[in-house]
Amino acid sequence: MSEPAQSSVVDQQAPVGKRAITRWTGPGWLWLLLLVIVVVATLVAENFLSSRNLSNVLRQMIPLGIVAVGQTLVILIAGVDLAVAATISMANTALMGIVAGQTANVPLGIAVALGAGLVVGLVNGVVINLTRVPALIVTLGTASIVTGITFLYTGQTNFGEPAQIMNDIGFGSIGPIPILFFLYALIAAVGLIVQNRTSFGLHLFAVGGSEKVARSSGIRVERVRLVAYVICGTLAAVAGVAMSMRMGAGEPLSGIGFDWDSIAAVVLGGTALTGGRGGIGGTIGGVAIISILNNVMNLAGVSSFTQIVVKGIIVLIAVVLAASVTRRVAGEARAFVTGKMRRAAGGEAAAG
Amino acid sequence: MSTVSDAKGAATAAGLFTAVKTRWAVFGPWAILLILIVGSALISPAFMSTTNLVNILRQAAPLMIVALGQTLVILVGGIDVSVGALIATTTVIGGSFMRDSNAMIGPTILLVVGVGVVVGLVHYLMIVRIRTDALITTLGTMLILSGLNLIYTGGAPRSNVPDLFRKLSDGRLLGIPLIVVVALVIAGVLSFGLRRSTFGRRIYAVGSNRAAARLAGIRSNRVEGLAYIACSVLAVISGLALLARIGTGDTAAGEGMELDSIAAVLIGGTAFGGGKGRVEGTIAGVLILTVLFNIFNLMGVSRFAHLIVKGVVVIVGVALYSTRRREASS
Amino acid sequence: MLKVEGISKQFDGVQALSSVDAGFNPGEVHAIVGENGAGKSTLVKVMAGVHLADSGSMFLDGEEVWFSSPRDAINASISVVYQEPSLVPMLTVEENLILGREPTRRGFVSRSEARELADDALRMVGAAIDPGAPVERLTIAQRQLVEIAKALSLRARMILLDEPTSSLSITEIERLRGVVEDLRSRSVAVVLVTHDLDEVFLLADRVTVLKDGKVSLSAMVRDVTSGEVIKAMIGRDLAHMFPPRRARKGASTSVVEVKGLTIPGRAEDISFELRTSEVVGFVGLIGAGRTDVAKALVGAVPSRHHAILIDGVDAHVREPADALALGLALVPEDRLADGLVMDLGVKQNICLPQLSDLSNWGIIDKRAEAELADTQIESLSIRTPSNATVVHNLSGGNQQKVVLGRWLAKGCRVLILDEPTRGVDVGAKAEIYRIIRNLADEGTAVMLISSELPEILHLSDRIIVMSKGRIVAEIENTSTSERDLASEEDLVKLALGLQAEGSTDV
Repeated sequence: MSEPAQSSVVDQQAPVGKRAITRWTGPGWLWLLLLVIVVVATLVAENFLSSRNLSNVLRQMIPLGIVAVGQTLVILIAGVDLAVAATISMANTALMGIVAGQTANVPLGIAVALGAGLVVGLVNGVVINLTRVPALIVTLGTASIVTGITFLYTGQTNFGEPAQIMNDIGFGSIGPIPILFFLYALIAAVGLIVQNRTSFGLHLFAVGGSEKVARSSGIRVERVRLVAYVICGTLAAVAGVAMSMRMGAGEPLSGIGFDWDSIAAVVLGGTALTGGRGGIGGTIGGVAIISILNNVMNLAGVSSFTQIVVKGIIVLIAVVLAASVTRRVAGEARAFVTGKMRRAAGGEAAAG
Repeated sequence: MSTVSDAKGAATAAGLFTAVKTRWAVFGPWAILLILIVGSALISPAFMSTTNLVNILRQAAPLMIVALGQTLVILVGGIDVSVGALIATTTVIGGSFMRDSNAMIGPTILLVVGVGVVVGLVHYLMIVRIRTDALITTLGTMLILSGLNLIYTGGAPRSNVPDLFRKLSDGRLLGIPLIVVVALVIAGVLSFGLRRSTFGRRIYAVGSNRAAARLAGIRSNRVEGLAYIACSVLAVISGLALLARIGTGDTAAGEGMELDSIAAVLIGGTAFGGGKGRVEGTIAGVLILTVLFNIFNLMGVSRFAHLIVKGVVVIVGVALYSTRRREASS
Repeated sequence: MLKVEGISKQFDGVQALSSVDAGFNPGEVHAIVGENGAGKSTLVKVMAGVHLADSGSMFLDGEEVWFSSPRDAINASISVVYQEPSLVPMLTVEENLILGREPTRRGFVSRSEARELADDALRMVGAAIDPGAPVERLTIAQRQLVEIAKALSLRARMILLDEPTSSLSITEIERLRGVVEDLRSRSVAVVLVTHDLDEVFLLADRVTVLKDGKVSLSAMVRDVTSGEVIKAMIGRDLAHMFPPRRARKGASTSVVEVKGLTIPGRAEDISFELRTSEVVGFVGLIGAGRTDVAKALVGAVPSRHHAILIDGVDAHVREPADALALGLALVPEDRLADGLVMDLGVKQNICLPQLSDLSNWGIIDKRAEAELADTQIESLSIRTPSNATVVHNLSGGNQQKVVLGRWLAKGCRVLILDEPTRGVDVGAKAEIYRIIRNLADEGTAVMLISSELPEILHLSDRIIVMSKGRIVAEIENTSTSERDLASEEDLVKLALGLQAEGSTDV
């Protein structure tokens, strides 16, 4: 196709092909940022690269990473799940309570814990689909309910006892890599494959990108939404179970902070809260950055209080970066909208 | 194969439903509140005592003040989850600077209000000018404030407030606790302002359709900025109210109040995305949450059951009249 | 193949369709024409399963059918290409094309089959677009082609095209003709909804004219003339809608001078002048950049310019409020998205720019507000139950009048009107034309953007033609007779066409 003789201001096309890769890896700048942080970390803390420390970092990433994968799916469809923290606590205590130190109870315990997470996700999805209540409020409500149930169940104190095998798994590792990290890696890998190679994954982006178009293409939007929330709830439960493996008892407050942290990791990884953009690839990077930062700060002796402040600053930086991306794209999208907005405006509602 | 008459029947039913819905938007929260009050009175005789009712109002006052600020922000289409942390900051700084000295009350109040303005300005710069996402941005400021609170107090709260200041909570005007008076005055001013002032009209316009408001000559950035600043300042005032009651700085003060304020605003009929809603609804929403808390206290029921019921109430309360916002064009 | 009988549909008390009958046959191109608001889009949506008709019946291959959802229509092999975007911007062309019917092999999307599907579809419309390109980076014309490709690839037996050429150049319309021919030869029933008569006579075999929701003409294209069709569309001679042409009175002074205005990606090096008592018509295809220029003038979008002089002084307009202070206002193209605050009432919308003037110490004077609004409601004949009615409930024409009333009440020196009669019924249109003429007579500098040549030709004193982001022609419109007008029209079309011929992209 030959270019027009006179340069047309309106016909601009950006280089293509970059996109395909970022679906798997997340945005380029993210990994650059990660590299910078790793370099800084090595300089700041001498034993950062020690096998023991790296093992710690990987271990830190496990529960947050697992939850963040689920949260990514939900945020991709322009939703949010604030119930994950409560779900983690519930799964954690339920597992510990059922196991009560007996190895024989472990399978049942895990099944119940995962089942509970599934149910929470189910409730979230169903309520959001049926009512028009924003996801923020619905998941807030379920969080409250789940927390109440957990407290009721545990009497708000530490509860239950793990079986030996659980601690073996939780504390065990293959070389410098904790066993459970493989679980996280597996979940992330499966998540990526589902996101990029299945219809469901494509539908997630479609629903998040434009619910209207998705619907008129025949996609069952409600079903996609339901599945996303169910997966998110279940993965939160998985995270809770994973955490249990390293604990001495079930803690009803074990999940605290995971809600906002997982959202921060997802947003940092380049997934937009408005949906349709980003993905698990970026989330993995976001989780890594947050975990490494936590680790570095610990090594450097930064007080946990200061760490909170730093986390806040990172969030603000991430959100500014995200805004500049949206702005650039929005500018291009605007032309499309104003050009095509030839709805017989008002004519539809009035005289057709 | 649906018949035409079915379609027609559905259309009439829908019309009726919408008619009820619009009336409900105004009276709904109050109806819920009434049901709750009646129910509570039936369950527990102690509920209707003057002491208890006054207690409820006094309990509600700080949440009311912060929820009023949140109403403004949600009306222009935003959200602010940093208010809880800001309340804590207020108590911490307030307690630390007032330090049992009456003379310091005035300057300290100015200081904390100043802090509130600064936070509001940060929100303005990021959310309104750079157009970052409101939820995440205020999450960021929340984290920063929480961390700073902890650093400042080293984890342990300091200093008490002078008695004169505590009068804010204990003192009464015509039998009504001062703090309740303050809350009601603020509510009254905002209610009148939103309905009758130019600023109020602009808030509704910007919240409903920012592009159209701008083209009509409204300086939308200014309007949004003022909403965020007002929200932060009101959070500070709420913090002062809390400080007057607990008497000392507390890093955990205001915990959960950001979510409660949002819930109260939504139950009150104001929806995310802005442009629709009223202050009166928020008042009802706050009272609903407070009455709920109170009755569970009276019944001696565990905190747990309260959490469960609260979750249900919030979802149902908002579901009753949430209309999904017009889908954003593409 | 598909027959509709007695279709009626009402929206909020307004009769959009009244007892419409129409038949669509395989291998035939059937054009549905009518003015904006005549009911064309509604009819399409009923046939596509988006709207449920209030009464009437549909027959597919002789059997009665009823579509209660878009899925039903899709299952019946009916495909629609809407005016509104039906692509997901963040996804690639390929992904959009396979959306909803992804080819899978053992649960995973088969990349090769997907690519094949996409290539086939794109080939059908002759578009050389990279299937891996994200849709949001395509031009408007390219997106339209992809949408058509998507509809085609669904192997539909009937395809409804709703204003398909609205953003295509003449070359691209030729290509569309090729596509339509191809469809015809494959015995697909093609329904072409448009208000552009050229398309009808170029592409269609049969034409049905809708006017105010009713069928006013139904015939084979070869049996009718364009005059007859126009008459059926508007019920009277075109010329009578417009106030009579008159010679421009008196000298006019320059109010706005634009020099070298550039909007990245939209328009480049735009220079023109707006003068008092003068109507300047801006004409061009969609995507030409007219709306962007208008928005840039009032500061609604960022731009770079060598200079924008208002009254000879460099104006620094950063947002519309600044423009308003200088006397410039815009009646936007999309009144729902940009013009009206839907949650507010009529009087509140009208008085929105004047809040400060209507208030004492920041408190709005309700009486003054109501008075101001009532004046406009009366002089513009705005049909509304009360001055407090939420504008959401008004018809398109009345909504447009509210927006106009806002600026008439305020009083502007320069008023920019972007497609002011879109979606407006015929009666209101004539009223709006009268208002525009009056504005100019009273000294206002009017910038009129329109896609309807008759409007431009009858109302403008000067015509500026834009194409693909640049000004390509400026014509003094001194004609006062119909015949002169006809030649003006050719001139304008030539200017448009010339530019279109010059491009060979897509």
